[in-house]
Amino acid sequence: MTCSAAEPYLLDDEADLPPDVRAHFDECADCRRLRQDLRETQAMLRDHLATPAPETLRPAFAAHLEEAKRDLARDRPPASDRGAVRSIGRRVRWAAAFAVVFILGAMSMVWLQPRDGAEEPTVLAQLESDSPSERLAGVMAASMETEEAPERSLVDALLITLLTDPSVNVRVAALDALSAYGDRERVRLGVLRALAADSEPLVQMAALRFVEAHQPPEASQALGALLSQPDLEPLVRSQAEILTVSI
Amino acid sequence: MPDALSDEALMTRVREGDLDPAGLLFERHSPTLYRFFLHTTRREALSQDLVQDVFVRVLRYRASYRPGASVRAWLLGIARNRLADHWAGTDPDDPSVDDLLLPSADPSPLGDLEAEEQRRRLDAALGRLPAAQRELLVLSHIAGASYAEIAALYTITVNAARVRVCRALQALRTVYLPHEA
Repeated sequence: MTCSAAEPYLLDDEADLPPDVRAHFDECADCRRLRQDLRETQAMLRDHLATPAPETLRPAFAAHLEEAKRDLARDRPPASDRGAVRSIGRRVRWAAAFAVVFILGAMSMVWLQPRDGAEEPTVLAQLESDSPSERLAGVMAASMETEEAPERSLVDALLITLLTDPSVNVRVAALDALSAYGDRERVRLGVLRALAADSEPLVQMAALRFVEAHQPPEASQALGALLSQPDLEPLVRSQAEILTVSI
Repeated sequence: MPDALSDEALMTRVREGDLDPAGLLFERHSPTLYRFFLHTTRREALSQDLVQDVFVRVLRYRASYRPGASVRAWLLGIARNRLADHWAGTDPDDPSVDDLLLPSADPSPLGDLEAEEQRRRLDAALGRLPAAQRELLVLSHIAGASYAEIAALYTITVNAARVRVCRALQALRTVYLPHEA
C-alpha cells in the first residue's frame, strides 16, 4: 500500500483501521509520525474549542416559535426572511439585556437606546492610527464621551486597544477610559484578561483599580493568575493581595 | 419500531404542521450550530443571529425536509448555505474584539491561563486558515459531523472527505506550530 492510499485513514482509531492500512502504518515511519501529529492537533481542537452556547439562544427561539405557531394558526404567510432575521436580532439583544438585568441587576437598558454617534468615526480612526500619540489622543477623546451608552463599536475599539496596543501608555489610557463602562460584561472580561496577561506594572495597576471600583465577580481567577507571576512588582503584588482578600 | 423522539420523527411532525417538537430540535442542535458559526465567523452576536436564522428557515421551509433523512445533516446544510450568504456580503478575515474575547470551554471566564493561552493560539491559527479549510475543520471537529455527513454536504466521496479533513488539519498544524514555539 502507498502512503497516498493510506492517507484517508490517518485520523482513524487503531481499532477501525483496515488490516492493510494498519500494516502500512506499522512499516512507514513517515505516516506514523504524521498520524501522531494530526491526532494531537485533532485532540487540541476538540478540547479547546468546545465553546458553550449562550443562554440567550433559547428564549430568543422560543419567542420566534410562538410567533410561527400563531402564524400557522392564522394560516397567514410568514414575513420575509430579511424582516424575520431583523426581528430575531432584536429579540436576541432584548433577551440578553433582560437576562443580565434580572440575574445580575447590573446592565442598563440605556445601552439599547439610539444615540447620536457623530464624533465616533474620528475617534475610531484615531484609535487605529499608526502613531501612538494619535492613538492616545483617540483614547482620550473616547474617555471624554459624555453619552451614557456609547456605540458598541467604540467600546470594542477601546478593548482592542487595551488588549493589543504595543504602547503601555495607550493601554493604560484605554483601560481608564473603559472604567466608565464597567457594568458591561465584555468590558469586565477584557480588563480581567489584561490583568491576567499584561506584564506591564502600569497596566496591572490600572486593571487593579478597575477591579477595586467594579468588583467583578470573575476577578478572583485573574488575581490568582497575576499573583502567580514570579517577577511581579511588589506594589502590584501588595495591591492584588489586598483585593484578593477583600473581594 | 422507529423512536418517536428521534430527530427524524420530531422533524417529520414539524413538517406536518405540529411545530412544538421544533423546540426540542433546537435544544439538541443549537449548541452545535452555534459552535459552527462562532468558529467560522468568529463573531459571537452574529453567530447567535445565524443560529436563529437557521431555525427560522427550518420552520419556514419545513415542507422541504425529506422524511427519514438525517436532520443533523439537513441542519448543517442549511447552516452552510446561510454562512455562504453571509460571506457573500462580508470579508471573512475582518477582525473584531470578539476574536479576543471568544469564550473558553472552561465554565469560568478566564479558565486556566495556560490552557486559555493555548486555546487563543489555536483559535488564532484556525482564523488564519482559508475559510473553506476552517469550515471543514469546524464541521468535523467542533460540530461533530461524520465523514459521511461531510461527503454528503460537499457532494464528494467519503474517502475524499477524509483526505480533505486530514489536509485541513495538516494546514492548521503548520500555521499553529510556529506560534507554539
